[in-house]
Amino acid sequence: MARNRIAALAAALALTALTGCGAGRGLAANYLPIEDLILVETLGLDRGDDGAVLLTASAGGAEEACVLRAGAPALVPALAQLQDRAVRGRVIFAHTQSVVLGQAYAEGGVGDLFDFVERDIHTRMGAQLYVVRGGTAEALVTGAGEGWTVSEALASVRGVTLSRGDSHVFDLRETAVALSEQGAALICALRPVSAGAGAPDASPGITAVPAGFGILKDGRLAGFLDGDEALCASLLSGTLGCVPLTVACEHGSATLEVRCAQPEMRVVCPGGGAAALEVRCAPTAAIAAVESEAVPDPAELEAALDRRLSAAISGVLGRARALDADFLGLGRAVRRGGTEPSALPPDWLRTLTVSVSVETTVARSDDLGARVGTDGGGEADGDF
Amino acid sequence: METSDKLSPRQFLAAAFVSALSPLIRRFPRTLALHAGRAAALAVPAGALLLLPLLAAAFALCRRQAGRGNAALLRALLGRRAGRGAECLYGLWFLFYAGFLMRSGAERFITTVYNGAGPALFVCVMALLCALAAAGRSAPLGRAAMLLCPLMLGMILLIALLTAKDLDLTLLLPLSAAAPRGVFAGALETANILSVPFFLGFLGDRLTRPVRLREALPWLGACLGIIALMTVGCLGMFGPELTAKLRYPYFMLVRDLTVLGALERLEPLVIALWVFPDFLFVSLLLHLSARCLAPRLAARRWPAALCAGAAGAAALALPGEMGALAFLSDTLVPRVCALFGFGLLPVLLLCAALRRGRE
Repeated sequence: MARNRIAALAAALALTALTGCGAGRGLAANYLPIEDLILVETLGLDRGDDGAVLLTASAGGAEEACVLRAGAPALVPALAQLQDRAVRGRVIFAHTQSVVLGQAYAEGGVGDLFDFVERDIHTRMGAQLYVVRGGTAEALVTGAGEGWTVSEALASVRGVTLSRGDSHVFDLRETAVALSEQGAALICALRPVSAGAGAPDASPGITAVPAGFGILKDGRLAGFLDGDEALCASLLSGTLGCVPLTVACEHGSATLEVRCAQPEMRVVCPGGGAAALEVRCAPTAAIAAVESEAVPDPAELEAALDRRLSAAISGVLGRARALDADFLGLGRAVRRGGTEPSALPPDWLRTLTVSVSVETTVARSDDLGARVGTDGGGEADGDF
Repeated sequence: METSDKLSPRQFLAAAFVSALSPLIRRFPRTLALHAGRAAALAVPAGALLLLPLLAAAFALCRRQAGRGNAALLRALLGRRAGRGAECLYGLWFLFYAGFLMRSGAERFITTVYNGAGPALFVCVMALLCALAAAGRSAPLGRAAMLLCPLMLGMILLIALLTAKDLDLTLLLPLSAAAPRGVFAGALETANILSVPFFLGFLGDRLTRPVRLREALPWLGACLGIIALMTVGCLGMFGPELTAKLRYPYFMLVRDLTVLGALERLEPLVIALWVFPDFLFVSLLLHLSARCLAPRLAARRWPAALCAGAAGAAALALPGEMGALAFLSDTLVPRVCALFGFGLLPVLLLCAALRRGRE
């Protein structure tokens, strides 16, 4: 009986530690009124001329947006400075949705960012990662106009990448895994552009559009991919959805909606010789719009698309070999072939021989196909 | 009163299951990824193969000494004096282990939720609560384990379900040819983590009847299933390299969980629930150390409180630097644990065989 009373008393005393009152260090530090929290939504990282890390944080919604800036020789002191300069309350990274890297920061190395994310108790590894091509993160993070925030602009970029296919937004976890497993990773590249011209309800400002991929190798930005190479990087890394492509052939041109599952990549590693990579992909495309007077022959479109994708795939694999950066996960294909990449010579990627085979199937829409079939003709000149 | 202080074999095994979760979250699946890399999940069944004969031998030995715990077994097989000495040694080890668990639990809270807080408050609260639980009879601890068992199991299964859609199987497969040595090292670690029933054997005299191997198989299956789920989840999300690098990969995995896009930041809840295995295991260790050391303690009236105080003091006296704690957690404690868990078994079996031969 006495023990029960002691237990009840101890439990009651323990409850006094859970009131949420107080501030500062210790348990109470975790309980703060929500209005005292500065919830960072987008964090920008740049590198100054002297190598210092410059932080720009965008917090709050469009109505009560707040931008904080700090700079220090390394990331952790810069984050501490960000907190010191926040007059209104405590800076919280628990809800950070996007991390934007300036090109100079990414070229100088992103190791400290990943060290911080892997250690920090608040930052989520699901935050999206971007690199600003030929610019600074600060310009983008502080460039939002009245009525919209950089977080909204980046959410729009995410939507655009899904429909375009020449870029893809990876999160911090995916990038950290690729860097640790392959030594290289792709990140979504952005180009700052002026906003507001086409949107009457939004004031002018700086927003961003996808600009291919940045290539991280050994934690540093090693280059960019764009155009068809970026598209094929999406294709080879299995992130390509359904993308529109304008294809020109001898008798006209058409916009095709191209779909493709992740291509089959097979690496043959003969003992002592250079490894050989075979890439086979079989995209399917539907004619979405004809851009010439005559409807191009699907066989011609197939051949043209085959040539174009083959060249782009060879091009992106050539970049991987030239940079000696396995950002496409070729090491996994080697492993699937029964060989550990570590068992191959250190320069296996540079000496990799590549053969690419693309077999596209171009189809018209079902209705049109049926009409062409009943008319008995191979040519179609109707509207699409 | 003493006659009703009995644990059923199910309660005993539930206590072993919940207690095993405490060292499990501290070291796994990071340790498995360190040793076996991509093949970490294979170390789990390999660990079962190592553990099964040891469990069979231990249960057979206990069955022959029906109604007696490890303490009586030690005295019977090693002789009165050596048996008492060994019992005392076990008591001191339980004390230190309880202290270490209090400190590592506090560090886990500090690292994952309460950044910047000191360990003293966590250690003191845990010592106080565990002292109250350990001071009583053995049976309530078994009943508590029966309550906690479905809670922990349900939570782990729910997390596995929520992470399943994001798993990248190419990070798990195929297994490398260089894996077997790592798999064996991982299997040893798995077996070591599951050495808890050997310690809980000191409660053998409180069992309603000896535990049969057949009854222990579901326990073993559940433990291995949990380890496999956690390992596959972390490796499928982070890959072996990153899993080995992260301090608490399982909590990192939970940190990014969202339920139907509406509910997120579940990790404080999961971390808080993980206090229960620590609470039960520390209480059991204090209870056992009090039983082992009680005849030697001056204050015989409150041996569990005395043990809890000593364990709490040991917890606060442990070095606070991450390097020192990592050495204790990854090297010293597992090795001593293996020694106390498995090391004595062959000696006891040999003594039992010799005695049988003499008779």
